[in-house]
Amino acid sequence: MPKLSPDQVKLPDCPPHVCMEMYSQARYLSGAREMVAGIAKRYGFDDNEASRIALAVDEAISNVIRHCYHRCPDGPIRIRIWPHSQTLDSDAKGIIVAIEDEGPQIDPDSIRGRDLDDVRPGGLGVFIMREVMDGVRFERRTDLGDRGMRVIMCRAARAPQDEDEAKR
Amino acid sequence: MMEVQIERRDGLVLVAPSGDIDLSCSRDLQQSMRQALDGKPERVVVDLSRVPYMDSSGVATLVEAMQIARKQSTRLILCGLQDKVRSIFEIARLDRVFTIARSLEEANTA
Repeated sequence: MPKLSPDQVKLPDCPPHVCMEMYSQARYLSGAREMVAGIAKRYGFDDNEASRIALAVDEAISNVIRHCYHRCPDGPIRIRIWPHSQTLDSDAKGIIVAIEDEGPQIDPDSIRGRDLDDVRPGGLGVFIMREVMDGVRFERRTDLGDRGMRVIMCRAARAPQDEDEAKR
Repeated sequence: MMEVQIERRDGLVLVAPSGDIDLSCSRDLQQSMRQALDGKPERVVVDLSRVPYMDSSGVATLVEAMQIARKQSTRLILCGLQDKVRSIFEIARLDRVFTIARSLEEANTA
């Protein structure tokens, strides 16, 4: 599956099938991971893929806790999940996840993963999100005035033969 | 909850965390790694066989430890990586940067 550009990653125009809200506290990361992995399996992903998707969501939430709320424990974070259907045939399965905060807005183009040749602590989260998912889009929310960012990530479930080809 | 055991013997320090390592506890691991590297031991082995999950905050902690180890000529070896943990090292292409042994025995003799 080729990677999607941010412009190809859209927020669905229907209500999410699952919505979870949490405070910006890292102790809730494990619960969020379990929820996402469990739903991903229902959408057609195997154990390994489901845990990779949960890792991408973990990285997105961790980034919000650290860089948006600077580890303050009372920042709201919302995780919304849809089954993936856009640009896919009716039998296709996959997942769309949006993680939303209510912090200061920043230029979405300024959010970049680091160059992997530069081996140093930190800066891996965005790279992992982009590596694991088919498409990742950062955007400013428009429903909270001048506050709030959103990251939308999508991943189509692979047919077994696609997985074999992807590994080659 | 993650816990870390540290054991020292004959120039070798064994660090054995247990539990998921994410943003909620990576600072505890950071502290343990700094403690393990203190005194410039010949070799530090990190046994990850009881770590079912790690995110990039845990990986960053190990990258920092590796950089300290290189500066002071300590050999840092990871071992016992479970599939999900190995996966994040592979995604981040760090499986080529770290010395990774299959087992504790191999790490002790590598």
